[in-house]
Amino acid sequence: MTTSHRIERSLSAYLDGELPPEEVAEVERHLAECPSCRAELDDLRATVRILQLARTPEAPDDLEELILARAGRRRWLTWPAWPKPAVALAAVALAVILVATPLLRGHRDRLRAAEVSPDVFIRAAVQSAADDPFMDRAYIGLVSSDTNLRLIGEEPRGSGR
Amino acid sequence: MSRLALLVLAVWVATGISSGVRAQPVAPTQARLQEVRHPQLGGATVQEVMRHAALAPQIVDYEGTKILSILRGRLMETITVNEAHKRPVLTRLEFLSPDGVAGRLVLDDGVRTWHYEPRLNMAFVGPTMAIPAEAAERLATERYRVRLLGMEEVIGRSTVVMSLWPHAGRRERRLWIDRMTGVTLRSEERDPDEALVATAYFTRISYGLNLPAALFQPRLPAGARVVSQELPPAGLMPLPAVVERIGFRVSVPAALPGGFALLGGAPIRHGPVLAAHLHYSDGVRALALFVAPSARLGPPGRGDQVPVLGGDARTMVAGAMRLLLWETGGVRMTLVGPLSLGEMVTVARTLGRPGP
Repeated sequence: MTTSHRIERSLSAYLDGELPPEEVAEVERHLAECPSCRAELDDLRATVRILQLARTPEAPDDLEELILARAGRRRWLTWPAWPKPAVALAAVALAVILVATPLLRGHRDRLRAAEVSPDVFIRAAVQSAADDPFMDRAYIGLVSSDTNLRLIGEEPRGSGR
Repeated sequence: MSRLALLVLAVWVATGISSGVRAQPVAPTQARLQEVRHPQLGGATVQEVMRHAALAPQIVDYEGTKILSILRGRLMETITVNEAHKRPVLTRLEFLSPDGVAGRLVLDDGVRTWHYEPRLNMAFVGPTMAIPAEAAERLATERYRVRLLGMEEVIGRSTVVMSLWPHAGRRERRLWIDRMTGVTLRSEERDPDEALVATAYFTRISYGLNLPAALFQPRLPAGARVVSQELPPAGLMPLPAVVERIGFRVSVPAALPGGFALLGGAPIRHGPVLAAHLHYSDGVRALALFVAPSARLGPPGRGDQVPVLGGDARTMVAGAMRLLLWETGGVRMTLVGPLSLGEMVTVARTLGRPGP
């Protein structure tokens, strides 16, 4: 995993304002240097914008007249037994947005969590191992620094498998 | 810091017992032997010497060269590091060899640790490795029983050789404690079959150098990037308290194969991930188990599949740590520790059969 990959994983959280200030600064420094990540961020922004802009379409004022004219001015069903087409269309659009947004967000969060959790868990495990007063400090320093490198996608010293 | 420990040190040093006696195993450990006063130790008990060793970093400055030998997979890896310590909490580790770690610098100011990696010109900021004096003394007593093995010389200094056995677990740790300073000059870790799995020893050491505080301050080269990888500190709590905090049920055994016993746990949150972090130990090695609802996590995309566990079980190696994750009963289990894949699989089978 390169630095770009790691930053890419943070872009969504960056856009949502969920990163701590030091990570925000790091992302912004990287963005200034990396056209690929800037493009990725633009794509994410565009996606969010599309979701935010998805509004109820407005029907023309004479829509009812036009429909009735085409239907030979026959009213099979009258309001409020069936909603006006424009209102129905708006309701469907709203329902789609209300259902799709949490699904999309949940899917994105799940993918992000799956990527992040192993790294976070390794870091937490190393931290908890340090609370033994007889654990050699140089050994902890070595393991901890190896983990730091692993978390940014660098192999510390061969695979060790 | 314990005044008692300082008093014991003063008595111990003042007595000035002659050294040079080769290590002789003492009678098997019994609870009351912990409180027996040994003439060899100037009238101190083994418990008092152990507590003093735990507190030594609080009262001693030193600088020396240390060799670490660590079992990684099936190979023993040797690392050379220059270690400097200024009481009570400043530590500086400069790794010298092999090539892969040469130049790596780790500085700890008692609040946070700075790790500078020269080949990347990057610095990582993380939590401190230092343990407060009160906690060091308490943890030493709570976790270990100790017996005296005898006296030996290490790099020309008289040491007390002690065997530490965890109350929970089966691994043994041996310490060679400098009689004059309490600093551990050599340590060995052995598995239940008495096989040596790790050693750390000084090849030279100097005391009382009045090391300047600036030696322990991070001074990063121009252009160095800084990455913060801090996690909120989490004290260990009993399992029911963890379950109450995380809001989902966690059912795990108190003991695992290999002599690992549950010491406690803590909730851990990172973004959308909320997990129970359970801390096991065999007395020497720490094993972390993370339990999180599968519904909160996507499918694991990284690591090598572990066919012997079936399903989606995966493993990956991070330095000396190995990670094994699998799903069972709607929860994602993630096991992290310095264990071989075989040992991890044995533990995983005890924790729950992986799902399809």
